Amino acid sequence: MVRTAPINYLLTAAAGGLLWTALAVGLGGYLGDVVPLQERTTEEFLGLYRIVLGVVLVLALANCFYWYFLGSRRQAAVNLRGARRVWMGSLLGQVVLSVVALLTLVLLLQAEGLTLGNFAAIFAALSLLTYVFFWAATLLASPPAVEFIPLGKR
Amino acid sequence: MGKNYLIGIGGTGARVAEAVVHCCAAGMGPDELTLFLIDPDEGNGNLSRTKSLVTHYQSCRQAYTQRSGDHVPLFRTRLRTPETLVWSIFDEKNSTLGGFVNLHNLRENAEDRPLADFISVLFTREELDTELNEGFRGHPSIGAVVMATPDPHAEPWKTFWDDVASCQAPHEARVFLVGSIFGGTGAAGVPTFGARDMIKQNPAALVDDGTSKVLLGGALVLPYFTFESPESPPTGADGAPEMYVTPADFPIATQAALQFYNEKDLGFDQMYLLGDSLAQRVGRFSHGNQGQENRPHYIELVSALAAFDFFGQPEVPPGSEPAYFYACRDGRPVDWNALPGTRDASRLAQQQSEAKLALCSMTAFAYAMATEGAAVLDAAHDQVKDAWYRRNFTFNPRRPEDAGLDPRQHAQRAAIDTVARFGEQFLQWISALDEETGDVRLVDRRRLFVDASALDEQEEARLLPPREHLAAIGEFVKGSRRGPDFAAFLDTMRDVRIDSAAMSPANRWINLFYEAAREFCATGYNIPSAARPR
Repeated sequence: MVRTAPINYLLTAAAGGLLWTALAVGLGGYLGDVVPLQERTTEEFLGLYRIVLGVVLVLALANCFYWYFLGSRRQAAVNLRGARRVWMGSLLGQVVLSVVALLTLVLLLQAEGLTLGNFAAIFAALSLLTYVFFWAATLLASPPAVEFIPLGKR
Repeated sequence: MGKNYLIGIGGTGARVAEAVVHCCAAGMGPDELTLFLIDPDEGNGNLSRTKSLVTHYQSCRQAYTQRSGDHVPLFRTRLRTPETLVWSIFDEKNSTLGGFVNLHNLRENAEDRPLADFISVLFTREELDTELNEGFRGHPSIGAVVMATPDPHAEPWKTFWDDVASCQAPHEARVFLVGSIFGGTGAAGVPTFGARDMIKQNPAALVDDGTSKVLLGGALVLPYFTFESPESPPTGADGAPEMYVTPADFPIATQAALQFYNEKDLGFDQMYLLGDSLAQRVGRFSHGNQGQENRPHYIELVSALAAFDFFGQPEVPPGSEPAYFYACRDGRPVDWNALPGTRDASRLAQQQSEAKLALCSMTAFAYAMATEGAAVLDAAHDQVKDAWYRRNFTFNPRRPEDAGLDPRQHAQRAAIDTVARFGEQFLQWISALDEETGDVRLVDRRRLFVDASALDEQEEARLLPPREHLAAIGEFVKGSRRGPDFAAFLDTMRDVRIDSAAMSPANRWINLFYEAAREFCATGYNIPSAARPR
């Protein structure tokens, strides 16, 4: 049931929205209180942080949806090697996306005084919204033909 | 429960028995069937093929012991064989008719001399002296003599008569004889064993009131194939011409035989007359031995259906009038709707659907087992990501205690391979029914096997890989709209549920493939059936 369209699409979008809310508002609020800012206001920092998280989430969702679409095509079951390549490529792409997003934030916030710990927390949030989210979503909601492709699925 | 006996006589009898075994594997046979064959030519290629098939069927029954439900008819028939599967008539090799009747001694003995002379009048020198290791070579008169006195204490007749003796009621034993009317062994054997005193009214077959325990049926197979005749008559080691039969002899032999059946009061309760005018070529000339191995023919399938109709009929009260059955097709093409499967006209359409579903399911099952199944078993467990496999085979290959759950484990793999190899034989058989001229429209060989022209001469026939030829599995049934492809088959297999936790991996594997094949054929080829499982 969870693996059939459109339920898997809707659940994934909802889970992504909840995760974004938790990380952008919950973790974001905490970071707003603790990060030492030199040039930007807390509101500007939070706005930037939330936009980056939002863009990352949209890209992660797009990747999940592409995987669901691919996995529900009739040919997916007969070309599982190809599907596995796509999934691994997507996971790697999500890792790269999280790193690129972090580097973007590092560049944009280099004039501020964020500590390594602050960036670690941001990277954790980015990781949760990218490759961890992609892995968990596809583990739980991949179409039946490709349900055993995600790593860790038994 | 009554006993069902099928006795295949001669080359055609062996080939019909082959069709019967294949149909039993597909689930079309009775619950129990005892089978034996009669042929003096033990090296006959057709006979060897059937003997090995029967053994293989029995191995499959041993390997496949747990069906996932009553709706799965695969290998349903308990196929029994006497200790000796083939009654080869002669105790010694190189027997001749002259030797069998002891002609030399008869001549030497003055008292018996007139009898010897009489034999010399009835049979030519060639008939008396020809070694019969390779059958009767189209001379049924020889066979009629040598087959008339089977030893009831020697196998396979001992088992047969023991079984008849264990029957109590009239017609409890259903005995079906099948052989050709136009050759040598069959033409001699069917009327010989159909004679009243041989089986039907044999004292061992009678109950107290004089009625017979045996319901005797027969399929007389009229000429239905042709083969390439030799350019010059075959000769023996000494250069002398040998007796042999050609297709040109068939019509006159048939005419004489039919006249005989018409005039003689034989013991048959029911008789099926089967034949075909397409005159398919089934191979090259051979008067016997290994060279006599012909391609299967659809008439053999029809004969098997006749046998199943005979075994499956309601009880026949003693004293019923003999019944004769024949069927004709409407036109030249032989398709699924041309197969005469039952005497009951009101059930014909349903029976044809059931037969089509059974044979098509077996074809899809065998094809998938031999291709996809073998490929998955050859791969390591962790490498297989197919949902149908992972849902049904959940274990950790690194845990020794899980070894018994792995279908790759030696004994499990052996059981699966046994059934898969039978399936490959089935595919060869059913696709060989598909004649080159296109008149027989059952299963399309080109959708299952690599084109023979693409293979080397020595190379064996190979199945098309389904992942490269996705449409093949949905196109092999002739006369049906194009069905879904192999991806749909995998989807079907993924959704099959084999609930029994105690089932062995091998049996789970076989059930999984069969249930998927049956469901795929029923829906994909839109074959209606009352017994469609779900």
